[in-house]
Amino acid sequence: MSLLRKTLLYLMLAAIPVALGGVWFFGTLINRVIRYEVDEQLSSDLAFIQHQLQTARVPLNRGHHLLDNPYIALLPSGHPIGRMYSDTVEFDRREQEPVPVRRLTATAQIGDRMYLIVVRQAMGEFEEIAHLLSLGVMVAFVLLLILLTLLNGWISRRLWQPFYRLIDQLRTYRLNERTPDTFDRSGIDEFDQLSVALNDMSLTLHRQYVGQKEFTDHAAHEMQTPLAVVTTQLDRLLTTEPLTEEQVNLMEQAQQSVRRLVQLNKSLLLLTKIENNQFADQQRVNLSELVNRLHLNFAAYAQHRGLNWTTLIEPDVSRLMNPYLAEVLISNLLKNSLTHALPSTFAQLDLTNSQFTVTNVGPPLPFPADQLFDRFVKNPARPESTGLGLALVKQIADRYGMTVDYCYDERGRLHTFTLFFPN
Amino acid sequence: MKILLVEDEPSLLLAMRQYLEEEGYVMTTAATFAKASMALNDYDYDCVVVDIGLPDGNGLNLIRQLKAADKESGLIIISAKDSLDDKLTGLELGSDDYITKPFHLPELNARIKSVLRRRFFGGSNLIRYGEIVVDPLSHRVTVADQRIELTEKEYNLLLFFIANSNRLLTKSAIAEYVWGDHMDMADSHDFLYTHIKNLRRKLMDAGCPDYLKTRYGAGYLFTTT
Repeated sequence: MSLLRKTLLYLMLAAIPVALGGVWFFGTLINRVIRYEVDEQLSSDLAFIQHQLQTARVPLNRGHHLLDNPYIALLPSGHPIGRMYSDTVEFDRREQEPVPVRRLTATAQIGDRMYLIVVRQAMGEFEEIAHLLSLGVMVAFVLLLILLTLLNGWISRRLWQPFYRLIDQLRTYRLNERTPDTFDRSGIDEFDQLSVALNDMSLTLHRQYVGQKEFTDHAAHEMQTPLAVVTTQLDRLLTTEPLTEEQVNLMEQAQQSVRRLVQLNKSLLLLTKIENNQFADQQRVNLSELVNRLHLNFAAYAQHRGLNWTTLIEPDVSRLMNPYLAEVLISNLLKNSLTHALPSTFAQLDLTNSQFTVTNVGPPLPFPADQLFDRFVKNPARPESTGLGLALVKQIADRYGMTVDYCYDERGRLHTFTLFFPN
Repeated sequence: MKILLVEDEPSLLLAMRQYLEEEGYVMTTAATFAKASMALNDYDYDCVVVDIGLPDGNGLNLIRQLKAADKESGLIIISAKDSLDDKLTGLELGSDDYITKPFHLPELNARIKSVLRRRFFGGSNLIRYGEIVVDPLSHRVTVADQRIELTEKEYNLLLFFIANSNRLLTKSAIAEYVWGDHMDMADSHDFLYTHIKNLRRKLMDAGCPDYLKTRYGAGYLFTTT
């Protein structure tokens, strides 16, 4: 639920009890005021009648009731009774229906006679006025609510505009761009604080990113240089005479180890660089051409191992990738399949629009299959492997939203790696 | 042939210098950007080998200086960074080759020879070694006027052997030159052996004496003697 709707909902929830309570209170208030005023009117009428009776020239002992309202009659008992207001319903002849009536009953002593005086006021009209007033208040309240809602929506939309702009900027934010993005200011303190915080964060992140990048670059430099020295010194040593077979063998072994270290260093750096998102540039890579080229590259090796290597490559399969990573991804899968294949068996390679599959024959994995893509997990029988090839595969696949799937078929002793491309 | 070698690591510089001097080149070395820049200004070289990661400046600027002076030198970049950007920039600026640290000296030697050949003979001169004649333009190899068909890898191997003739080459050095990054395959040495065996057989079938000798069980020596 958006902030706007949420605000409106709370506004409604708060407004409804207020409205109900307000209507009840207002109705009661109007009724009370009307009753008070009517009572006052009745009391004033009574006073007027009493005054007239005091000064009356017409003796009132004849005829019980000259008028119905006010009703004045002789009280035979002669006992005075207190003022009494009461509500009754009387039949209205004009309206042809019973109407509520407010009545004031009192007595007045004129000389030795006691009169009963009843003054009445029909309440129907007043109640209608009260109803209309209440209705008016309710309508005004509903109108006010609608107006408030509209106003609130409009204001919110205006107020939150900078916020939505910040979100859009965050969405397009890319860490690897050369200059970090700056988030706009809006003139609203809270959002300005947010954009200042975002700018600070982006700057810090960018610095860290650049630092990491420089670190990997420097690490490569610092590691490669001593390795280069070792390599060249061994080369120099090999040009000295006389040499014994033992010395040459030792140097050759040292060179092999240096080679492994170089490979390890390269693979680790590559992993770090991918993690640091340093291969952000992408282009349409024609995977069919790439697979064909690598197939050609590795064909001699497959032949050397006596493998019957069959391929099925759909033409013009392309994906948006970094070309270098695409090559690492495909070649690592191919290398893995070819080096682990049992000699003189077969290997298979398929590329379609939706997936890339490599299959080879081999004994079951010496470790659980779920460790296959972990770093430095390798077959103990092959200590010379870096144990990073498939970790790289996983890392690159994850990066491009592809999934790598491994399965082993017991009967055919088939290892199958499938790379599923996202749609 | 005069070569300028620019490298800030002293032991590496010395090793490269000695190795290349043994190949008969006249070597000039520079350990800093400033010295290299001065040397480039004052003299002409047939080939310049530059490490682009110098402490006092980017080696790529040396290449720009060289290109601005319009000199005919061949150019090889050495970089510790296996970074595609540097490689592309270097090649765009007009460098002839790019080599990543660490490398084997025989490989550097082979690359220098190849660059010099392309620069000064347009790659059209024939490479002769004993009975073997290689035409680098068409990749044709003949032994005593008889054409032999080599695969690409075998051809590269042969050029590498000829460039480093009379030198002991370890399997590691050969394998790295021939396979480069694809070398981390488990049994690459067996694989290399297959290639060498095939090359040797093809040469000998065409009547070439066996120039390729195994030394100490771990290396090879290509020699007419």
